Amino acid sequence: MASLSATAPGRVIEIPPGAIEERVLDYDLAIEVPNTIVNVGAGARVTILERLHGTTDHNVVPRTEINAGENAHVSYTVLETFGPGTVVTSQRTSNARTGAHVAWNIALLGGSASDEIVAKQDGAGAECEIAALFFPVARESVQLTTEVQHNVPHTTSQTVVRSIAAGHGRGRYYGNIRIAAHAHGSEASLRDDTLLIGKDAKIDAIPALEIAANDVKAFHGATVGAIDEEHIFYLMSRGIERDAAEKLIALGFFEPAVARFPGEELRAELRALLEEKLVGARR
Amino acid sequence: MEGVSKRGLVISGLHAGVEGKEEILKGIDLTVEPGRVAALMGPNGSGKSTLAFAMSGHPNYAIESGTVTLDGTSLLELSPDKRARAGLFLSFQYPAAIPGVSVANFIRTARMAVKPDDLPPAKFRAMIYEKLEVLDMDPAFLSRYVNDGFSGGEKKRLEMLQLAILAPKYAVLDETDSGLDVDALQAVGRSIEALRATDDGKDTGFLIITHYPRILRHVPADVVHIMMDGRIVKTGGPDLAERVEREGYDGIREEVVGGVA
Repeated sequence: MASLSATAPGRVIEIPPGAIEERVLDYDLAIEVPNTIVNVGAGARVTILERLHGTTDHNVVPRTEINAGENAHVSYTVLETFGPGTVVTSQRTSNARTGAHVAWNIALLGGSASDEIVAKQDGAGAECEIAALFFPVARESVQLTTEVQHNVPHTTSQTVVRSIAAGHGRGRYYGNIRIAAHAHGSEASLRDDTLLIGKDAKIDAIPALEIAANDVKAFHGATVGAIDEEHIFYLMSRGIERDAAEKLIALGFFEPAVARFPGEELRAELRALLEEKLVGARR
Repeated sequence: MEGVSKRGLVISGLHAGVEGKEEILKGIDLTVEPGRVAALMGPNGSGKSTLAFAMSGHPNYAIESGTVTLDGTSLLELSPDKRARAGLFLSFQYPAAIPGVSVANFIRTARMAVKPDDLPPAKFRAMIYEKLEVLDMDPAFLSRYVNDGFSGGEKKRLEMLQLAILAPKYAVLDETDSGLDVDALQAVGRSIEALRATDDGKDTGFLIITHYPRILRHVPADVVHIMMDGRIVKTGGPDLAERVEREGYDGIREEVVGGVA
């Protein structure tokens, strides 16, 4: 299969210093492979929603690069709903200067997507939040990599990942935290929780914490398991059928990640997509 | 044998236990009548909670023999959700926490499952707010996740809120009073009283499972059963609960063991 990188010049989005903006980027893979550069001026606040959809039989490599200026606030959300059979390897990086805040919100909901996020904390006081969820069903295979680099002192990061696999769905999550030797006073947390529905579903989570500095706080927590029968029994004892009980629990499982996506309208859309996928997975 | 159409929650000859382990319930006969309150008292480990779980269809409990019928409907072949839709409600001693599922969503889903010809949303909301007030609960409760990070008292209040909204034909309250302070216990009492004053709840029969008699001061029992070692060993009126308070279970055990021998 030919590998087609984003060779087009791509879209460059310039947010002037101090500006407050919201943008929606809509990419249909059949028309355009995304290659997005977002330059955010000092003190600016920008919320970007990237809708990524369509079907292609090439292995394409979309790219996103965020350059967050001093004290800039950037929220970048990816809502990926590829058609079946689509194989995509996305590469995304953010560079955060002094005091900048970068939030990545990633929902991988279709096809066989591979998404890699590298968040570089290059300025003191930079903050990074990553919320990600993925949900391989049928024969989908999804891979997510997040890497937060604490390159200077006093930077913080929080990574929250929730994933469910159903049917023959396969998933893999690489969660990397790197704290450089001189990045003292940094704080990093990484939390990933996985739910498997059915005996053929599988998700591997592979955390890697490389901590070269002494005076830092780093947390990692992970769980993997099936739906708790006690939870199902509790809901069923209130008259709720087993299928509906499982649905409530599974959708609730995504909530800690969903709750971090910006805007009630987007969260409602995301919940509806997850529900649709869950219902489809049972047919 | 009684006719199958007999009203009541009727337990007969029930032998049951935890799956794969020895028998805990060694032949229980007990009837909860509509609109009446039965108390089931007994020392720890006597099998009271096993009875509650076995009736509700908990997957870890196995029925060896006997029947449980609800107004003539046999329950033991039914899945737990069907038992609830038939009109059975169990208030759990340790209800499960379900992160990510809001109380509002849970209660609405449960109500629609149990009573499908449901109220319009505005009336439903009004009903929830009314019940919350009786229970002295903040409406902010509705947007919290089910039992997630709840205190013991908050969990019991949420069980009572569900009881009030689902208005079952028969309610089994398993140690609802355990771990409650006086205010919470009074709120539980008020909530049950309020339910019994409605058209929906006036015929609800209660089985109150408890170690201590104090909840019966808030919800007076019409009949009191004492359970020991998996059997009902004594049945009497409200004075039997008072006797438990005075003498403890040891006094009753002596009398019963003497009687059996």
